[in-house]
Amino acid sequence: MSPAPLSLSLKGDASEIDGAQRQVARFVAAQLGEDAAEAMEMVAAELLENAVKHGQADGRGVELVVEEAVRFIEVISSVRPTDLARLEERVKWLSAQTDAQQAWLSALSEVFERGEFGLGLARIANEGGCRISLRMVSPGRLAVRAYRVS
Amino acid sequence: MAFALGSLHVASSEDATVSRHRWSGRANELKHDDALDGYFAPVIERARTGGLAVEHHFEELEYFNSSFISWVIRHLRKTTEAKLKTAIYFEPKSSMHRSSFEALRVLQTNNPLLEVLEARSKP
Repeated sequence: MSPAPLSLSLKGDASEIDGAQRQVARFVAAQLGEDAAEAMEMVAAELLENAVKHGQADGRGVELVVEEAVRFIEVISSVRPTDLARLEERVKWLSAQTDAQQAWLSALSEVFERGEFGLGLARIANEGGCRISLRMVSPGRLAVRAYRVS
Repeated sequence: MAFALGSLHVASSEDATVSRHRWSGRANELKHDDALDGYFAPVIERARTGGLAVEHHFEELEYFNSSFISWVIRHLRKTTEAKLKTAIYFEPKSSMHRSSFEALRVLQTNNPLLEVLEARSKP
């Protein structure tokens, strides 16, 4: 019998991320072992941090789901419209890259040259071995899904 | 000298040639810049005036987020601009360390002041 997915409802507070991250690590370790747990813990934390940083405080909170076989982790949250445009641009940039490691190195260099460049999604793609997709699930509510591909 | 931010700790020491910083714990704040820059601005100034190299030992860091990696890169930019020889050490047995810290070797290109080094693993 396959296990149930891990599903967490959070207020959208930065202080909740560490605890959620550890729950994801335990869940993934039980399914896939410790090495995968470290990577997917990072994926969950980066998705949650993005949700908090770009989030809109509208009382609807943040939902995190880890699919039962850990094929994906998804975070749903309310997003500021200006931040949504930036996230879409970043995902489009990442999707156009043929090599996740090269994209990661480019992102690191950008931070050195320009001082700013969001690294979270590029890290999820490289270190987490994930592809990322965005979709609106209801007005103002964004689902960011990281699919494990390696 | 020491610094703490949440569960992140830095123990700093100095000898005649090196300003050394040993990091441990979890670097998972949403924004590290203000607190860490406040601690390291005088460190950079002291190293500059005293002709010291700067060493960061990250090998005991258990977890760090991308916001911390961004801070490390901006800090390396500052030490480069101050013309300080800077070395960072990471734990080669950790895939998280290799993915992020070893990748910072990309910043060594045309930058002889920066060294990114594997720490000697504990037996």
